[in-house]
Amino acid sequence: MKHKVKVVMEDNQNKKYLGSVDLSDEELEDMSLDISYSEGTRLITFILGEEKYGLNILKVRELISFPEGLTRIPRMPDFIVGMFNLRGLVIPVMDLRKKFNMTGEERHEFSVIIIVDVENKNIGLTVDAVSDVIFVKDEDMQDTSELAVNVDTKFIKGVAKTKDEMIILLDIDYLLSKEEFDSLIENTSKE
Amino acid sequence: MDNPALEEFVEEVEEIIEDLEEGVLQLEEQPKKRSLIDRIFRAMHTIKGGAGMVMETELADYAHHFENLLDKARNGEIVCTPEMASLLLASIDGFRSFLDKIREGGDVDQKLIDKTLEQLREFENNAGKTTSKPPAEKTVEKAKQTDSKQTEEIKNDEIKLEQVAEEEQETESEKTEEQVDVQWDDEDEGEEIAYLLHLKFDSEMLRKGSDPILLIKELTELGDLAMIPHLGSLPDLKNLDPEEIHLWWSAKLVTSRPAEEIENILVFFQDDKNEVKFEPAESPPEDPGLASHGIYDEPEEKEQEQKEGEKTKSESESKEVEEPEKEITTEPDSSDAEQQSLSVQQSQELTPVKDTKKKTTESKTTQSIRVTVERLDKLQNLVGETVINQSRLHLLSEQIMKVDDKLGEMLLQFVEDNEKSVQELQDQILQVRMIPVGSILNNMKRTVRDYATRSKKKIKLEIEGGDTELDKTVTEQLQGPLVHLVRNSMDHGIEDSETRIKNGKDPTGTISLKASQQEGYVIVEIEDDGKGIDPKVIFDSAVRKGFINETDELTEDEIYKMLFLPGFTTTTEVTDVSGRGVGMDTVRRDIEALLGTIEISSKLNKGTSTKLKLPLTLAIIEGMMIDVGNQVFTIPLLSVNESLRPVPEQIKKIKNKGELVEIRGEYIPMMRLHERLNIKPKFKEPTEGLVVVVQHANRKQCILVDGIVDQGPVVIKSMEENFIQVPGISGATILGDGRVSFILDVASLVN
Repeated sequence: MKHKVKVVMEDNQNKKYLGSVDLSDEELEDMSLDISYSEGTRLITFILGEEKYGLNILKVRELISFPEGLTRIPRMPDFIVGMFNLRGLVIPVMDLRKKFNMTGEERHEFSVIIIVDVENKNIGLTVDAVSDVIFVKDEDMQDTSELAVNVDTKFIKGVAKTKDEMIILLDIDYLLSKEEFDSLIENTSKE
Repeated sequence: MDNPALEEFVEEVEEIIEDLEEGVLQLEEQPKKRSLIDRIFRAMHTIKGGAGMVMETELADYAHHFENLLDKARNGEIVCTPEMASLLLASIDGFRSFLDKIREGGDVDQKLIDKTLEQLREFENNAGKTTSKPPAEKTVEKAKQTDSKQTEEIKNDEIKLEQVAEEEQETESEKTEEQVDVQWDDEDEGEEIAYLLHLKFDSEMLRKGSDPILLIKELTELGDLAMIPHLGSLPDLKNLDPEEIHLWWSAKLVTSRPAEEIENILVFFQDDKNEVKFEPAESPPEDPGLASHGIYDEPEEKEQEQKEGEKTKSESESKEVEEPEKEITTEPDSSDAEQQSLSVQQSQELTPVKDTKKKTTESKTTQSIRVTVERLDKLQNLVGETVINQSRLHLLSEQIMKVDDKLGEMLLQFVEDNEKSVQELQDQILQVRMIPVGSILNNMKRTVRDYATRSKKKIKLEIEGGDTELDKTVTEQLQGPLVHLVRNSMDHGIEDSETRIKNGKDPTGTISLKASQQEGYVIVEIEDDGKGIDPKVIFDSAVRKGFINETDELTEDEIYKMLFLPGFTTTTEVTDVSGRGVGMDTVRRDIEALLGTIEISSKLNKGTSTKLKLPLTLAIIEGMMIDVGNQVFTIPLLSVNESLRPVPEQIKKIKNKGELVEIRGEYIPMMRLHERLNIKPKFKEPTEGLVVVVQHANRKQCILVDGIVDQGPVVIKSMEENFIQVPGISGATILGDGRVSFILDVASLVN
């Protein structure tokens, strides 16, 4: 079933009628998400190696400093650092540096774990440092096609440009997708 | 579905449907049991009413049709036949379809609905022709009137929101009906009736070799018996003759058996020296019956009792308690206060049956609340967290003790006190999650019935120990394997009637489901009295399929174990319910996923028995903490046989087969955990480290570890919740120091 939807632009007291479109249920559902951020996205930004990355803040559950007791998971690749106890939850930690094959120092006093919530799974990501929470307008975001970054582009959704810097948008849903995790087991069983 | 009323309705109907299903299945066996029809009718009516409330008019309509049918059954116009049972069961499928629609959206299975309604119409037409009016007695007329009036009410009822009022009317008319209805086949089972008994025996009775206890025991077999002893003539202890009977009793017997049965028991005691009488409790005291003859009481006692009653009871109370209260004698010489409490209690006990029933149903509704499993899970997580913090506190207090004796001691004392509450809390939360396995065992009735009607085999299902409690998650996940096993029994086990007669067996096959609790485990046994499994057939089959060689020598146990191999089947034919060779393998995996074990034993021509052993809960296990290198792992204690440090002579190396450890003459393969898990250990040799012998099913395995760290209950956390299932690891737990420890998956280590 199609719905007729009026498109209205609203700022402060002024409303401007832009026209109307026909949308299906699904589209409408998608819209409702987009509408709420239609002007842009709030990002949490962090440093990894030489570059600045961004992550939709709605995916972030919390930030914690590096936990003391991390337990390694046997036969898992290096970048799965281990699991730790976050107030009763057992949460795996992925080292993004290692995941992206970056060299250099591993951990220092600013190292932080970002706990993200992707499809109801809580996963920790180690980053060099968390820098800011910023707001990026939609028109300032760009998809990946013509990018040259250190990271395998399949984990990158795009870039966001701000006044003075460029932020790489991580495709966290893909990075932590079931397919990616399942490949961990296949890799290890081949060994 | 975000309408909470609708959600609640769906949940409620789901429960009702289960009750309905069970009721219908029982009704099929006892088609003339009035109370069953009433129960089914009520269930149907509640669905209809509820559906009306939440504006699911189609569903209400649907229920209405079947309610009409049941109403006819209640009036005795229709007797429940197997066809009617099938019809009612089909309606249940219809309801399920409606529920699916409400829950998930989409459409109802209109074909199913139409078909059942069509069948219903047909059935009603046919039934109308064949059944004659039931035999008339003078009270039946009255019953008819009430009934037809009520039917009209239902028919004219436009399912509005005034269901409550209607329901009240309904119960009212039901009540009158119950009292006047006589056409029910109440030969042995019927409405429960309370009888008051007066049992006064010859004081010389014991010397004659008889004993009142014999009578009392027999009476208790008829129903619920409440006895009140009267101490009237009890002498002082020094004057007491133990061979004489000094007591007499009033009793209330609530039974569904006919009065003759009571009569039959009492008749042996009825002679001129014994006063043994009974009468229905409801008869008014003015009746020229037993009561007014003072049989229930000595007249002077009665007077006294009445006086005292006036003294001690408030008006309202004495009004409320009616006549039976008078009939019970309390000790005349007991104190006032005692008497009051005693008589109040008794009067409650002896008020007419119906009131008691009402009371129990009332209290049931107020005593339970519906809680989502999600919320319980959250609670359980929190409790698990508290348990972990508790052990951390324990560690902390020990550390403080080292610095400050006194302070540490105080803290430790507190921590230990707290531990008791935490333990209790944990037990309680586990208890809350327990549900009786009966719910899923009873579901099998329908499976068996449907199969039996289709296959022409005669099968009876016996259920035992349905009240055994098991964690809800375990119970739910048990359903699949159970259906599988029952189907296997029906399909491969039970023979058709002819074969059974030929073999000198009861033409009706029996499948029994037994649940019981044994040492922290729940045992569920599925047993049939069918043709059994021939070990030779399995052996040959296994050879054919290349699982084993013809020359292999296997014990019977090992042979049966092969039934669980993937792809193993002995049947050549594939039916729609079993025989594809995936069954037993899946069952085994399902049971193992529940941390349980499965065993099959069989006797040719006697039957097959499958035994499932399940842990009470999945949330907590007893664990043995071992370390390898700097990492601590947990092994479920259930799988650990023993642990030892072998001497060099015990270690044997065999080419291509690895290492074996000889333990009391038995050679058990050894696995070095550090190699398997790729960890750098403290000890590389078994003679330095420790060997833990684990067992899964019948296979034993030695695991080389560095040492044992600890032992105790651990809260299991799922790896999948936030990550993925890692091979060799069945879960994680949090240790006392807050670190994560992985629980080894013994099954995968052994295989």
